[in-house]
Amino acid sequence: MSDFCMPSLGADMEKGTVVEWLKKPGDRIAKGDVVAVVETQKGSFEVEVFEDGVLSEIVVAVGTEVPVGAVLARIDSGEVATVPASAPPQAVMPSMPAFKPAVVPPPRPAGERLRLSPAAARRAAELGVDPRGVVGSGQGGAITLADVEAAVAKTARAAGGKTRRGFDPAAMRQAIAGAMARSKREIPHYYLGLPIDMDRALKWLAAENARRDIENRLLVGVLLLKATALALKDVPELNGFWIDGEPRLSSAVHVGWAISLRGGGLMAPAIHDADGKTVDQLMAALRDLVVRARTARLRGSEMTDPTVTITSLGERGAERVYGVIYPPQLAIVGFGAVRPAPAVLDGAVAVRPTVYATVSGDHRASDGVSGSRLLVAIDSRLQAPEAL
Amino acid sequence: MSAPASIDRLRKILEAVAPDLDASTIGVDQDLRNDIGLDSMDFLNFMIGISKQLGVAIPEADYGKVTTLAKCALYVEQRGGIG
Repeated sequence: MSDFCMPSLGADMEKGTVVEWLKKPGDRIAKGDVVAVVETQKGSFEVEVFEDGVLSEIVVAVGTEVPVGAVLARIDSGEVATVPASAPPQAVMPSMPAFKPAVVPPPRPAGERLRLSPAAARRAAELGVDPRGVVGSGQGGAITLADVEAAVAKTARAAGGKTRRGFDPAAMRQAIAGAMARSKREIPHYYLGLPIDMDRALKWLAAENARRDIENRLLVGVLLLKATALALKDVPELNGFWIDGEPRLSSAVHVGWAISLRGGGLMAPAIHDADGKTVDQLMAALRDLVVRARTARLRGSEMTDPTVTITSLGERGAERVYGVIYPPQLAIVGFGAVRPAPAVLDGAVAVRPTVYATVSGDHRASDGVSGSRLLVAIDSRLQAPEAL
Repeated sequence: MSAPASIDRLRKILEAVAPDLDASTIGVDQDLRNDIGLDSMDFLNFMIGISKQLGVAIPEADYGKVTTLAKCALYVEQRGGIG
């Protein structure tokens, strides 16, 4: 038996509220399954489990706010693990229903006089409802099956509006305030910038897009993303986390892509193993991520996995951005808008499409020379767009 | 001047690609990027929606001609896209 706890979905999260259980006691769960939707200051996220087993008990009911680390549910992993590896799959399946009788109404604390019918108790356990919060309409205030279901429907309605429609902008502001204040308090940033000639990259992109169907067109941001991910393989000391007073570099490059939310605020969920994906795969991943960020369907792990962040201002707006590192990451890479700018080519001034790339690095973990090497590596990758 | 029906269809496409927007409040002459806040991904998805639903594929080189709902409707109508 193991505990499934309220995860920390970022440096800024202290507590969260379960707004939906997607699995019920008795359900078989596999590593990576989404079992609950948790609401935080930054909106709601899908939370997955990291082991195989059976959800044996829901401890925290829908609508309850608990601190990070609180036990949300219990997972029975032992019985699954005892199945011999050599057993044929069909031998495993029939044993599944045997797990279900283990699901019983949670024991009530001694001394509490709670009257509820057995059917109501069972339903409450299935739905993850704490009967102590349900108003009984039966004889002597006893809680009936209908009372439990009515309470769930009410909670779902209350949570539903907020969950699906996004988030509370004031809470989002607080979350960003917490993380950014901590970053500036704890992380000694250094800042570097390099204008990068985008002539080749844009010409390659225009030719690519002209011959592609509209559904398969690429955005310039994908080239910046891939170039940065590859450059981080060359300069690994800016990829990872600062934990317990020392840098912990990551061999995988999970890029947190900053997505601005129209209601206010931003998020930077992960694009996993960005260095190993093709530009088409990155485009698909980016499209998926943007849609899910806007509709509050991101996974919790996507918020904690990034080993670095990229903030790209898009095709319009400011020329350069010096980002604030998202703790405990080691760096943030910024790209301003691509715009025509004077450049010196072969001793003469020419107007070239230019993007101003920046890096903010954690000076505890690396020195400016590393950040400089990273920018040069990004530049050199962007000069060979066909190889991205 | 474009027919209101054209604008309505474009608004529906816009709402599908940006569900967090209330497209009914977007003025026909508002700049979709600068005023409404569509980013490059939203805008590309809007172009894809127009291509799929109205049958007009807008080349990248023409993005500058479709910066507002009114301009977009005109562009699509001229290419026989909206009945």
